[in-house]
Amino acid sequence: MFHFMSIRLTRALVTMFLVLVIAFVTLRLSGTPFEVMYPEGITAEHLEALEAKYGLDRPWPEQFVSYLGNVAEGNFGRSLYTSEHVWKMFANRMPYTIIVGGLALLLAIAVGIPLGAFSALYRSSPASRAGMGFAFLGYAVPHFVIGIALILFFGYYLRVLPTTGLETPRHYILPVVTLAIPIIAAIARFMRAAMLDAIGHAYVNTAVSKGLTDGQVARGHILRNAMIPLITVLGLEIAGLLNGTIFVEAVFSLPGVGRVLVDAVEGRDFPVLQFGLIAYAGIVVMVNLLIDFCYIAADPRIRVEA
Amino acid sequence: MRKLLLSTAMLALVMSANAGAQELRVGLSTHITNMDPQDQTGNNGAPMLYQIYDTLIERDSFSNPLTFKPGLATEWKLVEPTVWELKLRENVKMHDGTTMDADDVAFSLNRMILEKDPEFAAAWGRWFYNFEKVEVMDPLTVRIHTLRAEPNFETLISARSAGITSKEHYEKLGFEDAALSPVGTGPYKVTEFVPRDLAVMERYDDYWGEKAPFEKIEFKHVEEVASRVTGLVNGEFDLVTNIPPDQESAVQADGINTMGVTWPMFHVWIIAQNTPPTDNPLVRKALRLCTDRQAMVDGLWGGKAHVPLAHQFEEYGAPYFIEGLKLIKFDPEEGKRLLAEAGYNGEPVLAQFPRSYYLYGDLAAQVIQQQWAECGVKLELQEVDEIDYERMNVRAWSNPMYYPDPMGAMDTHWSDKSWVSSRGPLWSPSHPEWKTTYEEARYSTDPEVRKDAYRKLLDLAEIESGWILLYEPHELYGMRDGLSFEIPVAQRPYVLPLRAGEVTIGENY
Repeated sequence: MFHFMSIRLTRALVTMFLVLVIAFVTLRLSGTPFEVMYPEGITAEHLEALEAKYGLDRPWPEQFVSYLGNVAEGNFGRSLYTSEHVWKMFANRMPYTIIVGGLALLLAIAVGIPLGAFSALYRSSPASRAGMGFAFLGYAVPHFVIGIALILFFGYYLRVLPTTGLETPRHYILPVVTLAIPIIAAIARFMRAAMLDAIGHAYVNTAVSKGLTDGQVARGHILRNAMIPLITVLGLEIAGLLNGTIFVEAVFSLPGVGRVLVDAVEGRDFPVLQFGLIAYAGIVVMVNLLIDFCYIAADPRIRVEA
Repeated sequence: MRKLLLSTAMLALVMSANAGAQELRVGLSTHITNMDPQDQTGNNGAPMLYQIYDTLIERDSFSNPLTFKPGLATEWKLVEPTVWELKLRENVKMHDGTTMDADDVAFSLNRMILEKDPEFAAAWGRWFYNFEKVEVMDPLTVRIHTLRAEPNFETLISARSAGITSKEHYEKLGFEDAALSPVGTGPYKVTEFVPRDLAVMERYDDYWGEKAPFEKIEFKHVEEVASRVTGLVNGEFDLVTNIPPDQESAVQADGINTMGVTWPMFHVWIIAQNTPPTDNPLVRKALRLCTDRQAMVDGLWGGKAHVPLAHQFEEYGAPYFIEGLKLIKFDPEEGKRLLAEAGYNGEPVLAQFPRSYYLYGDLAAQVIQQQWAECGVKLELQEVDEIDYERMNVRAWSNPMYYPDPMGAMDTHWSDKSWVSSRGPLWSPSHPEWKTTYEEARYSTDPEVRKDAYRKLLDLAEIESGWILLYEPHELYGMRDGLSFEIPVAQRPYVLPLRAGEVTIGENY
């Protein structure tokens, strides 16, 4: 068990270091940030002076060693654009992203699992077909289209919900729903497939033969077995959720980290992007680790192999 | 008509003086990365910085021709041809509680004028390259030295990039943190600032002048136009900016007013003088003649934008604006003739665009591609991360009028201090009379001489043909009933007139 966990942790650390190296190199390959910073134009002398001021005129290996040294001291630098401390930018904005993302995930689980289960158990009914039709639609339509459509319907035409910022609980409704819809769809589709797979197994026939009611079979044998692969899907969806927040925060003008990352990508804000990529990669690695541990807890066979 | 507008503005001044505890929520399409007055030179900062920072000399915001009034300086005079002496206002409290003095003025301006830090190079190159230094004479007197006699001294020193901030504040916090917690002397004080997202300002009760009409203003970044329009209709904002003309019908709702504005600004294509085939002036001139601006204004802007007739704006006022001047023409037949004379054989003309920066810029490029094809010109459009100045023939740009003077859009963009002169150089006028004519238009202290020189410069610019003026863009403000203001023509585009006497707040607001 300890061996299994230490291998997973070592892999996670190596992955993080590789992300750091790849982020550093690819960002510098993408060109100078200052051409983007001054879209109206910049003189060659001004460009050189700015590169010298921020140390971007030094050879890459030198910049990288210096960066590693700073990171080791917990100094991730300041944004080239806003001069904010990078860690502070993320610390101030991350709670909004986590709350919106977390609520969207909870909503998706609360709706997606019952919807998928219902569709599997009553797969021939019109309601099931309608539900899965909705799921396919939600999966196919991008976040920003869903977001704009909700803004127009609930904000512009009905005027019942606010559409920008996160000042009150009502402000959370549209961004959370926008973010949740594709995840609901993904969970429902997967849940349905997993349950249909479980229904076909011999242990279900056995359970029915020994006289259990439909409800007992569904809860005790089908649902429980279908839930194990669903953990994997949830892990993937959490990673996808991070991508989704980027679009949703832009459309609803939310003060989260997604917008910071979009601005940083557009502006080649190296310190912000480096930290952002590491932070996002860190979250994904953590989620994967958690899933590994959840597997161990949920499936005795994996525990034995470990 | 102008008198009528002025009297309306005067009436607005009186009415707005009665305004009490009011709040204003503004949805902006772009926001700002920091609030340092010398560092921020873009249009995105203009609506906010105007509320926070005062300048030594202020412009009468609605004046045309331009007039001035005392700001942080109460009087000023030329003591030598290149030296201005300014007496500072006493007991001006800054937002950090310190008292403004000559050291604050010298600190604010010298860091830019003396070129010590590249952060301030943009403002230096655009407005202040003829300034030498600020000298402190006593706590309430400064002398500003220029390199050459500066005919536009009052105009330049009243630009918001000459706003005065607190020396103590910067010395205490350092540039990075001080620029995030702005300290000025203006009628509004910043109480919260999240870069690129939100700025909250409150009326500054210790303001030296007439108190601001709004108790609180929130400037929120709302990038999506659909979200800005919805936010206004939905009651989340009182004022939204940068609504494109094709969205006008969406803002037509009960309780909402719109105000269209055609900015004194050209959307421009730079034509490189250093890259074939546009290194030939005949080809450059032909490209101008093959560009149908009216078709773009009608097709893209719903007829609302303006077709430029020369590189000048009505906002210059007398004596500089030249009535009836028409230098820009659409004549594809003449264009084809010039191309033949130049020996142009269908070589590609390469236009590079870094990203969609200008409204309708991508669509305009596709329209021009078709228009030039009809003249036999092969225009290649490339979207690139970085422009290759050694290869490209065309890139998009804009020429806003930063101050109401012929040099307000010319010198700020096409001087030998501008970036176009340093890249390639894309822009290197070769006509033997260009330099002397430019000097006269820029530096003569006789307004009539400057006017005549500028007129001649426009003729020479036709020969050089280093740019194509496309149109003057049109946008809309959307606002709640009860709120109204005139466009402050004496300020740069996008300034919001929210100081005392500049905005009308009705009883139904």
